[in-house]
Amino acid sequence: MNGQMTDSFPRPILSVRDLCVDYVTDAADFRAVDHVSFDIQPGEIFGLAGESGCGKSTIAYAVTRLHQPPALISKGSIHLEGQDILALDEKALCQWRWREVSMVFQNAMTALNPVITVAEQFRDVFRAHTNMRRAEIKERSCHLMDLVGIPPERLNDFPHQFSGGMRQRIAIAIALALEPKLIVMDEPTTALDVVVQQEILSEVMRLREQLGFSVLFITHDLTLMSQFCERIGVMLQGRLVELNTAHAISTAPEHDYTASLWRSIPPLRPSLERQKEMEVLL
Amino acid sequence: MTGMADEHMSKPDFGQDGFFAVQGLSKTFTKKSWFQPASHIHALRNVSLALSPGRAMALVGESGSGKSTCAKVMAGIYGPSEGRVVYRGRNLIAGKRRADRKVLSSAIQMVFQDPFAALNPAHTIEHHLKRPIRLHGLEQSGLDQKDRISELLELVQLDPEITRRKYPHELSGGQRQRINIARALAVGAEVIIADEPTSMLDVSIRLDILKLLKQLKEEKNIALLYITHDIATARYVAEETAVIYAGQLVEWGPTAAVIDDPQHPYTQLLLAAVPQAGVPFNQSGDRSNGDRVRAAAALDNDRIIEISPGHFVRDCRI
Repeated sequence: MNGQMTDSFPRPILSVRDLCVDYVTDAADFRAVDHVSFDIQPGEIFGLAGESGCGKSTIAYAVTRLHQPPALISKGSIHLEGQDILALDEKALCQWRWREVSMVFQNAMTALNPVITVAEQFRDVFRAHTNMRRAEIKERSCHLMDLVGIPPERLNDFPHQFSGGMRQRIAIAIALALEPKLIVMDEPTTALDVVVQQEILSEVMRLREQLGFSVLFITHDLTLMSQFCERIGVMLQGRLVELNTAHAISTAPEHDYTASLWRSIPPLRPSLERQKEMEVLL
Repeated sequence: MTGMADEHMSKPDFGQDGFFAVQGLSKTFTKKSWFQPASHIHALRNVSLALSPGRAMALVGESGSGKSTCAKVMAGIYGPSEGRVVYRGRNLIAGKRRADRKVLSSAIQMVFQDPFAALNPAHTIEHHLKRPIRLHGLEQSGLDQKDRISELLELVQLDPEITRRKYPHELSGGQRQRINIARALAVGAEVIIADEPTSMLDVSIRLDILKLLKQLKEEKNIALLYITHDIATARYVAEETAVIYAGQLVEWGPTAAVIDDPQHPYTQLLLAAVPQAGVPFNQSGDRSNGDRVRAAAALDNDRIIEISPGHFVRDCRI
């Protein structure tokens, strides 16, 4: 549906076409993602916005092939750098994941293993996907910790010894371990407060300049998304209802749903007109 | 309960400290370890707040700043290490006297952040509302009680006939939060402490819950403490805002003054971090400024400056 608008770009890194994901149940199938198409360009931060249950996380899981039954990709295609992701078998998938696409989840406490140290979690990634030696792994882990602004000495600490923001930084460092081309971030800062949220996302932007990865960013916070992403897709009940640049989405939303999402977010310093509007709403 | 309400009606001017206030509140948590000397965490340091009926105060701060600890001490869940909790002129310290405790727990109620965890999945909504009424000895005859529950559900804008028999899992997050508010009202709460009541809800539902709290504040004359890290919503809900960091209040006053004319560097940091549409992030990723401000804001400082009437700020030098 929005294929034309990205044609001017040379080659997208991620290309999702006509994707349908169904949740298969005994009674009936529920279509969670309904004919969704979008592209992500190299080095681009692309946002998917929508309320809970709109299918945005389901897309994140489909793109990384982490979806589990009863979720079933019933239609469409996903290509990463020209490679058909849906055609990969288990073994190829294992090679592909984390090397090409990695993921940062909402809750860093549950994404990290609480009973092993951070150093061991790094080691897990390198052991599973590379044949690096111990010393190399150590050196690389230190470098990654440094990259996200945590002193490398803390590698031997356990996840509970870090604050929520630091844990999410570690999750990002682990996602960067194999220098993937795309990082899927599913509400990475929803559990954090605004100050830490801004610090972490500025950090991601800086790292992107440095390393050149693309980001698929998922959140329900449209305001945040308009600051952080270059292009935004708005989802409603499994469909992509609007796809445009962040600027257009925030200044001139076309779809009613996008406009209503904006209306439900109270601005910090509202214009007089907006203030009156909010007084009616509240 | 009604007697007290009447007393309040005839004496509308309760003054700053007369209704519900905490004075010089400190809370220290001690972490004991077998192998290391005990360490102390000063979660609250000399916090004083006053709430008045029909008005709301927003308590704003980042995670770990002590805002939830403050709520729990005010609601009597924790006892303070120092300081007083005063309700209608009585000094109530939780756990000290049974009678005080009962007053505290029926007049002051909390609404928690997670509406999913706050309700028992094995019981119906009716049970959740009946139980506090019974525990606080507010029981009436069977028929009246049914009316009372219907009344409570209507108050939070839910259909009594449909909702009454349902279980928590059959309700949406927003509806569940409404039940939590109804439960607070069931025991005749005059003070509601809402600890991030909307942070787990969808953006489109958040406004409805805030609207409900605002309505209850105005119509039921409830004193509301609205705890949040979303300072943008404070403007619409609360007349006053207090910013807390590292367990001490750093700036407080009328909400508009605090948001539009922030004086404390930490308040400025907090406001700068609030997402604003169309303002792209700075890409420097510079954390040093934030760290410097936090370090300065965490220091003990007893010098308070009044910027304008009612707008106070703690002295802070970077």
